[in-house]
Amino acid sequence: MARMKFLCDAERCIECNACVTACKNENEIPWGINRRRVVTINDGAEGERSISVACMHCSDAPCMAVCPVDCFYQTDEGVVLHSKDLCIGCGYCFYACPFGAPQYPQVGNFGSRGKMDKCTFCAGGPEDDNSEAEFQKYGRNRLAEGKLPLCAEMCSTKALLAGDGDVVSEIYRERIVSRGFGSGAWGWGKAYPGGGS
Amino acid sequence: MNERLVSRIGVCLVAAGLALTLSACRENEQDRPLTFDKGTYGGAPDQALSEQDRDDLRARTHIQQF
Repeated sequence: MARMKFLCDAERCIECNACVTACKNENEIPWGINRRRVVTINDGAEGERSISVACMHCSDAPCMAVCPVDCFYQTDEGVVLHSKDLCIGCGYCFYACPFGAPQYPQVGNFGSRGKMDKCTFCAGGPEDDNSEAEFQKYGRNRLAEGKLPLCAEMCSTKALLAGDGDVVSEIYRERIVSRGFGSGAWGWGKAYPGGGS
Repeated sequence: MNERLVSRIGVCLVAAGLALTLSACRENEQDRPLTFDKGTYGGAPDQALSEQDRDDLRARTHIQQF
C-alpha cells in the first residue's frame, strides 16, 4: 500500500515560492493562511538553504495526539486529515506541530481563531470526494482524481517531492549517490521516524 | 376558572418549549456528532482510494524523477 510522504531537497530549492502560490491557487486558500511556506536559513550568507514546509503528514502525528476533540484521522495512504465540523479552534495542534503547519483564519485567543486549516496533501476531507462541500472546507481533492499535490507536481527544480514514500526516498537516494555528498532530507526523520508508516 | 385555564396553557407552552429544545439536541438534527469518545474520530468516514488509484499515484511519482 502506498504511504504518501513529502520530501524537500534543500540542495535544489531555489526559493521561488511557486509551491506556495500553487497551493493557495489550487485550494483557494483564504487571506492570512499559508498551508505551505518557504523557509530560508543563512539568507544572503554562505550555506544559504531554502526548504518548503507544510504539514508532513507524520507517521505518529503529534496534532492527532493532542487534539481534545479527536478531529484528526489518518487515511489508508497515511495522509493526516481533519474535520472542520469537529474542530473547536483551541490551537493545541499548532503548539504540538514541529513544522508549524496548523493555521487559523482569525487572530484571537482560545476558541476565537476559527477552524484550523492545514495542508491536506491535496486529499480534501471527510466529505464526499470532489464535492462542493469538501472543496469549500478543505480545497481540492487531487488524490481522488489520481493526481499528486500540485505544489510538488509543478516544482520547477523538483526539489519538492510528494508521493509514495518508497518511490520518493528512492529518487532522493539516487540524487545523493550521484551528488556524492549530503544525506538526510530536512524534517524526514522527525516526521517519519524509522521510515515506516 | 380563568386562572386554571391560564395555568394549563402555561404548562402546555412549557412542555412544547421543552420538547422543541430537547429535539434540537438530536444528533441527526445538529448534523454533527454530539457525543465524545476519547481516541475515536467522530466525523463521517473517509472514502478510501482503490488499489488502481494507488497504482496510478505511484506511477505518477516516477514522473518527478529527473
